[in-house]
Amino acid sequence: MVVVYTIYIFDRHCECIFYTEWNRGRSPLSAERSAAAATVGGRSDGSKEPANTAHAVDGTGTHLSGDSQRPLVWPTTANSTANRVSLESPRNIAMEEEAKLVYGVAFSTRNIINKLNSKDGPQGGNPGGFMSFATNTYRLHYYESPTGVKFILTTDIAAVSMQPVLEMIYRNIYVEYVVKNPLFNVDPHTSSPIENDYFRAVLNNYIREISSTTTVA
Amino acid sequence: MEKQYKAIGEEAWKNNAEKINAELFIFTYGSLVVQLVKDYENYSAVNKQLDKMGYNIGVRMVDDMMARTSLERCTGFSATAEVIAKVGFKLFLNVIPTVANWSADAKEFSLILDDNPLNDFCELPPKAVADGLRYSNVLCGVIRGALEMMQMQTEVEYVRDVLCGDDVSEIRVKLLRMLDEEVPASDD
Amino acid sequence: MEQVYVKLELIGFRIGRRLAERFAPPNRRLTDTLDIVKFVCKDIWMVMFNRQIDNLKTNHRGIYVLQDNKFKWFLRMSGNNGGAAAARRAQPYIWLPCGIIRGVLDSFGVNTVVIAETLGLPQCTFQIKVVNDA
Repeated sequence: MVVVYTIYIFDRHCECIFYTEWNRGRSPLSAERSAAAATVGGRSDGSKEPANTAHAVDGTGTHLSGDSQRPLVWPTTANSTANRVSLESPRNIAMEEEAKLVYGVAFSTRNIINKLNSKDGPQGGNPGGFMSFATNTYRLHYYESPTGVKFILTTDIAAVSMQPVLEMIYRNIYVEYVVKNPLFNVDPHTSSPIENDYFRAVLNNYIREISSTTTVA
Repeated sequence: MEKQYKAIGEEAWKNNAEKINAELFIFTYGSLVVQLVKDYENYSAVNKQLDKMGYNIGVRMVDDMMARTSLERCTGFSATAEVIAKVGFKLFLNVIPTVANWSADAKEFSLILDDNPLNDFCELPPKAVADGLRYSNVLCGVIRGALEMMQMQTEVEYVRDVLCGDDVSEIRVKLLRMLDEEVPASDD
Repeated sequence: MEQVYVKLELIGFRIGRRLAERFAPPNRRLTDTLDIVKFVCKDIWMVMFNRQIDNLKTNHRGIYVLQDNKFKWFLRMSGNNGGAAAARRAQPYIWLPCGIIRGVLDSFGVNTVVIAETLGLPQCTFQIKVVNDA
């Protein structure tokens, strides 16, 4: 039984293009939401819910039933706001900060490991084989696609290796539903958030599946 | 090593590739090129456009190739060449070009295409040949785009083309430089 | 956008003519328009998408409606916030197949106008309207 807390996906420009949380108690998102609710009375579909319960920002959370499982997708940052209906996705500075920190810590750890293995180089990659680190409250898992897309998953500490899970997410969910979505902008020189209901639904199902089955080796 | 790539390519093509009707593919490509020729009335502009389209395809296709195989990032340019030929071309076009004509500094090689399905049923008008239309130039863009995603900046071009009367088709791939991974912008 | 439409439709038209030439049944000549439309729904759709059209309707006065409930090029298309915006952005992707259908019919001497719309991805409906049916 794995408890998955969050997933972050970073593109080649170090930008967080996707974030979802599942069983996370407090986060910059819920904080922002309660703040928003307090000041402007919240959005129509948000105001009914308790402020500390994660719920779908995009209003498409119907694919998950239980409250605790409802995903919260944080539509991402800066240069990506242009083509988005921004009513529903105000910038969340705290969340952006958090994503930067997460990227920073994973990136530096990977670099140190590469260096210790004398496999570091300006092209990056993960030849040193950084897989995860743990604190006393969570474990952070790292997977980097050969094309430099970085997947970071946080789980409870008991989940020892999530490499097969992250690889599965890259190969069969990210490539299948994001890369092959003709509507996804893949101009490799700009960052685009993953705004994609299918991807989100498939990912949610998969995470739910691994959360309910016993152990991933 | 070379054998291994061949096996990976075969396996991916057999088990993990969705096949489409070859004629549909060929007709579609042909019709596209015809349209571009009409629109641009200038063959070098058409070549450029095809290369650009290929690039946009390549930057996506490389992820698809990596996802369908057990390949990891290549450690050297010669391995890269082998993978393009034996896995990339095999998986997407079901042909395997020969890797040849390495430059002395090992930064340039050629792909010799004995068979290129895009060319099937195609015959170029003399004017197009004379003015240097590279009918299958999309392939150059695909290679360039795919390699850029693997941190390699390259120049890729047709140097010989059977459709223009050469005895073989040859695509030249030149490594310009390795691209550095981007690092996060530091907070002030 | 108008220009994009014209070009994609034309590219499709040429593909359609060649597909018809290549895949037309060798042993019988299709003359009846309904038979030609069926040829599109079955054979041509098979060649293009490995499946047949789900539903064909006609008013017997030159209008044929082809419905594909899982239009292949839409299967991976998705945006945020439900389907409406994505469906709008999907529109250009059906201009080419519209041209293909028109091209196939044209090569049998049937002059048509073909339009398409989606009511929600991945569904797609093509409407063929015969012009000057002989």
